[in-house]
Amino acid sequence: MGNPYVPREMVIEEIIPENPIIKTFVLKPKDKKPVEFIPGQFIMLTIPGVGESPFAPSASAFETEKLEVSVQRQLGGRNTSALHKMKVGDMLGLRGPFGHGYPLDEFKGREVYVVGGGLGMAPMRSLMLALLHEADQYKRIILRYGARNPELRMYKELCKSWETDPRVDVVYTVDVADETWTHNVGVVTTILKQEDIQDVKNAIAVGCGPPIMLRFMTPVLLKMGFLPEDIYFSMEKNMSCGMGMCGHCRLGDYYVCKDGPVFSYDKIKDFPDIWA
Amino acid sequence: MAFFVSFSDFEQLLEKWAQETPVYVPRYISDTIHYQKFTPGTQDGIVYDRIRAVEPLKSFFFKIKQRVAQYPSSPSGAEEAEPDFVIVGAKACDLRSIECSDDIFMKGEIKDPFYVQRRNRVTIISCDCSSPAETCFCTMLGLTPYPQEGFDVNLSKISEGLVVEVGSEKGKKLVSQDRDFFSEASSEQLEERDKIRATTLSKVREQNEKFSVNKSFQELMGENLDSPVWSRYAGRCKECAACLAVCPTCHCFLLYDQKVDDSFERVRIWDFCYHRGYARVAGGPNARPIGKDRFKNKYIDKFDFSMANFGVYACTGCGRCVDACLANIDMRQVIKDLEGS
Repeated sequence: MGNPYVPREMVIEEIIPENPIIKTFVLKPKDKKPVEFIPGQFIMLTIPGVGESPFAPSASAFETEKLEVSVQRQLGGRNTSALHKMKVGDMLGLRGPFGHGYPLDEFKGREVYVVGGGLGMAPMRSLMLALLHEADQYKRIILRYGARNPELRMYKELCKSWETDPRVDVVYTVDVADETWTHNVGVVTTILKQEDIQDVKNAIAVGCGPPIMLRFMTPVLLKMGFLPEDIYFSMEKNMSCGMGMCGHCRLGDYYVCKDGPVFSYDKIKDFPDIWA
Repeated sequence: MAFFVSFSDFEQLLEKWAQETPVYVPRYISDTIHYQKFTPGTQDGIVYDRIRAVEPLKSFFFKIKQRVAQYPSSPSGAEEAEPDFVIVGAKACDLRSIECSDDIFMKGEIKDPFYVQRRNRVTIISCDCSSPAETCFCTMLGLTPYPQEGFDVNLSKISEGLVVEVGSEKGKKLVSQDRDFFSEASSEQLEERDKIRATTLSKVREQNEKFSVNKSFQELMGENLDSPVWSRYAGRCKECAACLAVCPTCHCFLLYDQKVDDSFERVRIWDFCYHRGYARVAGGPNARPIGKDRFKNKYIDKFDFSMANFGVYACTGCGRCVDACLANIDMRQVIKDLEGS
């Protein structure tokens, strides 16, 4: 029996600044074995001697020789501050992936309506890359992405390339614009429109973002005609062990680490305080 | 078939086992009972049939503090090999609690190698409880004060010795390797055992009649999420987490990392959901920022979550939480009050 508490050594190959508070770390496994995950699953990243925190891989799941993780530096956050000080060549630790990702096979043949907000765009990037990898398998791929302001947007180049990509229908928004901004202004729920979807009975929605965003987009999606079982959310709780043992991430009858973090809305809607 | 062993023969057996492997026995230390490693020649104060020890049995398998990883270059699997060991005098409530921690640590997709190793190494010799405290309520959780499952060997104290029941292959081996010490229990001996059992059972039932509720605990949780009862008790609760520390089914832990010489280590310590930061996530949001929600969390976890996931309540009615509470909060009364709210 292996020891699931021991992290796998990962070397930082590249550090990409996404914006003033988010960096993407490109990690290569020291053991050179593939790094596999399903979009939506999460990993525990160890900062040696400092601690470990849960993150969502943002890379393509089809590139298994490396892993990309976007990390937002939290005010007063010990782990994220230490991570932001690390350099190329430094060692990090990886545990996981843990939990359940998006059931992509069930998405096939359907319109996939991806809604990302803030840092929630990190796993949505990995999901988008997986969808686009087999774009012809899906009826339509639609992305709606909101950020607080243009400066805090992530993956700016990639997002720009999607604007002209015929395989994907994108709309971007920011809460507060500046003079460079040419897209929508307003919170992400303001860009979710009935006409975005051709046949809602054969469509699924995926949302990842701050709890407040998920909370406010839920009634919008339901009004558009999405069934609760066709709406998928990535839930954030205080995941720590990743194995359903340490107790911290309980959400109703589930542990988010092993039963989630991806849940269809029908599974969680009756629990109290799911957005707390 | 049930066996019988005299007190003096059992003492000899203890001495013999302790030569080979660590044996833990319940012993009075001032006026409470604690597990102690048995040293040959020290039989004084050992009590098999008294109420469960203060320490929950889980601490043998899920240690209060344990180094779980060294990195880089950590050996795989559980670290140092642990010896076989014997626990004597576990009670029925203790056995149920181990069922609960097995669900968490060794029945899931990923298993905890430290827990699994200790569990595989243990031989559990349980014993009927014949001295329940006023705080005992195992019968409310569908248990009896005498073990019916989950033991390798069970002992029932009667006037002239111990009635012995075998509950597993391990137990069978233990008895057969010292078969000379055991005789077949007579019908009179079994009758005496059954009489003691019945007396204890009625005592626990009677003292808990005033707490009986007409619905299942799980239903009461589901129907009373917004009950004012939670705030009322939360106002008294000091959030000291003593109830959680002594709880035999609580399994929460915290992982922390530290630097040691040229490498790093990861340590696991018990953690408690009554601590304010327990559910807090990066950036500050907290699923249970107020005391009422944290107070309630324990009950929801034990009586709803556990039943929904494992088909068993994560409460054994051992009463340790009632004994430990600084604010004299009695779990039974909380549940009773929920029914009336």
